[in-house]
Amino acid sequence: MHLRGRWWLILTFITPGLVLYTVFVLSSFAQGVQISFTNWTGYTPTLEYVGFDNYVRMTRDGAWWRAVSHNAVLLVIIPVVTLGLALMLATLITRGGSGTLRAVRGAGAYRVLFFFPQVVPVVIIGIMFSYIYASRGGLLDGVLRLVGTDILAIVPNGPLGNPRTILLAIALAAVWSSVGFYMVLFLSAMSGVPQELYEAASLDGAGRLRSFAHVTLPLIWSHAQTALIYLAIGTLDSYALVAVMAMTGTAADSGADVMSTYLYRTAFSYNSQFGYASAMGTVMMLGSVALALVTFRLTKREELEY
Amino acid sequence: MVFSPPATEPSAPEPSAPSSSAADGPHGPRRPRRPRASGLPHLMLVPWALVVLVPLVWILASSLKTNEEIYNDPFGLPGELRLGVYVDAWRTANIGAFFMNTVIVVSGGVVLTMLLSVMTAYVMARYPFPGSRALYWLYLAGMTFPVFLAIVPLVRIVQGLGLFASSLGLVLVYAAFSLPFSIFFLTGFFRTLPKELAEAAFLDGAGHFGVFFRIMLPLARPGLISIGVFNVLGQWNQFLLPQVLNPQQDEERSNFVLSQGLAALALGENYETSPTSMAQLFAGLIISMVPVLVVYVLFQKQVQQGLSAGALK
Repeated sequence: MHLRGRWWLILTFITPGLVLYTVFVLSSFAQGVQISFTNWTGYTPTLEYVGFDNYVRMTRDGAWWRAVSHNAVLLVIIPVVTLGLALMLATLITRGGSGTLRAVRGAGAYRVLFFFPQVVPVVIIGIMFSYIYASRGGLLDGVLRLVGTDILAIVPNGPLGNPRTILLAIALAAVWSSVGFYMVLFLSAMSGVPQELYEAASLDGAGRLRSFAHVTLPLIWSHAQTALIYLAIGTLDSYALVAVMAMTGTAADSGADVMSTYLYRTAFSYNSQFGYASAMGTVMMLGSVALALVTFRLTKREELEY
Repeated sequence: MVFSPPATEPSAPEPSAPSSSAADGPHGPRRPRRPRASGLPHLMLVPWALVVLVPLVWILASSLKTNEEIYNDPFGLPGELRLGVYVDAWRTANIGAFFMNTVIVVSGGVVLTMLLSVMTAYVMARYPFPGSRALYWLYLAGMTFPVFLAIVPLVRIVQGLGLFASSLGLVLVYAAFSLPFSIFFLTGFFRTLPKELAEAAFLDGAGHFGVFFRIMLPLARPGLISIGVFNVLGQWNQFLLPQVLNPQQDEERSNFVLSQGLAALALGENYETSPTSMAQLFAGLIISMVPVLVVYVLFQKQVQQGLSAGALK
């Protein structure tokens, strides 16, 4: 029925979007893979195919491996701290009320406030944290001075000027910005857990901690798994925070390089080595897919029905 | 990608209703007495609230201080109310130009994203055709790939089209990269809308386009608001794309969007150009946060649902 005009609508509705998407997104990704097999510098009009040369070069590039190792460090700190805090805050809000069963008073306000950092543009967060960490007039320094010490006494050169702390300092800014988001994710998952289960656990003498470990966590596991994959991929792609905070800090730019910032400089500063940068991009894409699969496998549990 | 999104129905009852309704005031329907009121949870929730709030308040307070005041007394109040700093930031530090550029690019980008994604999503949800599943997956794939793989060729493509360092170029690229999530979200939304109204309209002799514009589009309003707000926030946030596609063109950086302009200001801040140069930067941060804050406060429910739906793809 209504066949007349059906195809006309389908074509007029999907074509504009598909054209835009193909020109800017699909072809970019495809060309990215293609360019990774060339020695294109962005200045020459022709591409010369060099096979896997760029990939081989990557395996011998110390700066690349350092960037990879920085990503690995972030990949441990950010998801663990973010998810830990988010789970704790969500549990406190959902079940922190009187008698261990109810939501805490002011739950709505906490929810709105905690989520706010998620909507603050990442560049602003990066600049803000650069000044929080600043050794002169910084927020952290001010707090430490209240208790009679200062930031330089604890971290020589300041958190962003010290190669031992710069990654941690950046990771904490990332945690600050994303905890609220994952908390909201967990809040909505927890609201789906039937109240009777908590009542039963409570009757069996389980306190908040035990009912969290034995009721909440198993039932929201699939959400936690999704959150972990999402955070892991996000961390792999993290760019703006590192780019801004490593620039404004006193540490040399490359001191905190991650894959994305190294790729950016390879493409746009170091003589436009577009071929080499694209090879990095291809590896990052494969890395994201692999990471998602591995996380999925490692955290696989039997699905609980409720 | 992992499982189907539970939050693709923004019209459904607020998922966390129990958490908020149980919390608000002592007027809950069944709450005869509090067996054991405990302040312990607040003991842990309030510190995090401070961790979230204090940096923002500190930036706001510092935006009214001189560099000297910031260095010597980080927690002190400004010696006098120097609102002129905001004027300086807007004019001298060129935040005004960055702000207007951002407004232009984001409005264009969001309008185009909405237009294209609502049309595509409507077809995906209501007009399945041979190959429509494949097309859907093609869009989904765009959500999972890292944008870093695309940026190098993207420069070439945008240059080839003569759109390098132009607002129009940014608008088109923003929209193209926002399509996957928007289409994914809106397709889910259109699937939840009742079919009966459309059927009745067809029987009354309405055409396919008439049904879309007069019936489906008004019904889809809640979903459109969610995704619109989400796109405003996401495109306001863009940093990498403008950095690559919209490099500095003149000394005042008059083509920059806010994120670029602020990053450049922060970098130049090390050279302390005036006694209130830090305050100008902080004022810039506040100025660019205000629109986001307003959108968030007005639409916080839609924002939270939209983003959750995105994460659960």
